[in-house]
Amino acid sequence: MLFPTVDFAIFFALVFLGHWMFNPKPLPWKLFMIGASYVFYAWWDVDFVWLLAGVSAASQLGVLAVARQRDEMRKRIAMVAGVALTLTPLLYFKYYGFFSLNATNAASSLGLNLGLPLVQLILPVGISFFTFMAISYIVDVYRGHTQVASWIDVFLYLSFFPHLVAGPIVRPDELIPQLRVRRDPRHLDIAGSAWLIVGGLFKKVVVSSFLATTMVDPVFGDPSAHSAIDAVFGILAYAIVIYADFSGYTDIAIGVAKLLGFQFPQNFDRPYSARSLQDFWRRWHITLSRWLRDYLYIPLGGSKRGEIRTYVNIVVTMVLGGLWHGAAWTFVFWGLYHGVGQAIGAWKRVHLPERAESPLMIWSQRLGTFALVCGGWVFFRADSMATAFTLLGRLLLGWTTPTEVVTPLVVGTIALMLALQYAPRGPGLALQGAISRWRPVPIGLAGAAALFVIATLGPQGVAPFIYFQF
Amino acid sequence: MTDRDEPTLEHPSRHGDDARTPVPGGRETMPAGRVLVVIVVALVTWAFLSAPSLKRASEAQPLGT
Repeated sequence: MLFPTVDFAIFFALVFLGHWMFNPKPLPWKLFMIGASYVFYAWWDVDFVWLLAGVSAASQLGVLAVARQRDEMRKRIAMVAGVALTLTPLLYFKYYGFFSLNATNAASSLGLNLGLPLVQLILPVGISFFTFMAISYIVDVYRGHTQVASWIDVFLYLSFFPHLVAGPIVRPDELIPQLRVRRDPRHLDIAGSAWLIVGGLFKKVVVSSFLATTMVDPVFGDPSAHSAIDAVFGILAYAIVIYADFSGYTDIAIGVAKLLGFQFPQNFDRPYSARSLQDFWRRWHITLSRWLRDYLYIPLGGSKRGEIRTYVNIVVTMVLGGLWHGAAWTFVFWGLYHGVGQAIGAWKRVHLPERAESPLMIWSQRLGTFALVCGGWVFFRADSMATAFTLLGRLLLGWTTPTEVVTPLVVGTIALMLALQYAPRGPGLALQGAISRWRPVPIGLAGAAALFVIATLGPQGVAPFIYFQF
Repeated sequence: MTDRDEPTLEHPSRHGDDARTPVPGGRETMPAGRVLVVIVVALVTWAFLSAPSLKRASEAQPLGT
């Protein structure tokens, strides 16, 4: 079920009513919310509901095995076994096709026939997200950061529909305690929630859809037919598309959760105002960045095993982070690109003296970081390495070709979205404060007007969110 | 706290001043019952505003979908 659809609007209105009616009674409330979340998931493909339930059960079995052990080594073995069991469906559905194809190609180049079946599997929606949350739960219990939860709490933690298909990746100690207490129905932040939901819908339905169809799809679909100017704006447009698409989804998810009385962690913080790649990853998909740090980078040794090992750990973490986004060499390269970039940044912090900050230096860092991030997006969006290099080649060779797709509206939209990265928060907060003092009917009418404008400006039908495929 | 202390969709006037308490950021909050009114008003009004385009979209689709 997509957020920007009539189906979801009706679903949410019914769930909102049931949620607050069952709220005083914990067990019926939890059963109701699990049922609603599984209906939400089954809307995509009912066949994969068993997978969500299976991963939930596997993580709880892993945690119970960890909690039962007294000996540290056995505890560790139980944790690793639980993580491996939880990871198996993700590895199979997401990476088997990639592995079998590349292994077969590599073997055939050596004259060998591996005989691996080459199959293209359908990727269950959201599997990467709920698998990572399940791993967090097992590892956090092993580390003593969180307690063993009940079966019903684990099933609800992993299936809770606002975060289910594309995050944010919520840690067990952030969500499970919220499941155990009754939410206060007297104090819902309607203005804050509506701001997030309407803003998220605008970003996805209007901004992302417009730039994707007018700029990104034509330029990335056939880069050799486009000019250098088209290539530049195609890349800039994709930077906006993926930000508007993913942060729009996250805003809606956080806003929906807020209306149900839940607090989700922030997932974006003006990423295109970052001054280094490391800063970018503190602002982009924040819940994934901290997951990679806590469950991959630190277990690899982090920065505690010497300078060279630190750089290696950064690169390995980012390559695996790239691979998490998709089973393709373009994502591996994208991860490597960010890993090497961050390792160079870490080296500079150690070996180069700090310079006094000036506005010129700050803006140079911001522009330089944005350019680097945009360079990475070329590989992230391209359907192959060849397409990515063809597009980058147009930046050098396409200056004699006339531009065809860059319009004032495209340029204005990109400029506006970039300017918003630096806009002060005060006016938005003041508007939310003013709206929060309105009566319910005027707020509802304003919300309807906003939805109408979004639906009018947006295209017929809405493409799935980009991050659903991950 | 007991179940009796946990109001759900009751009329907000029963909660007195608690019904509109500021949250960080200076926004005032609203009880769930009033939020439900917001949601219903928004959806019904949007459906009326969008009725012509919804009709066009439904007529453009094949029968039975």
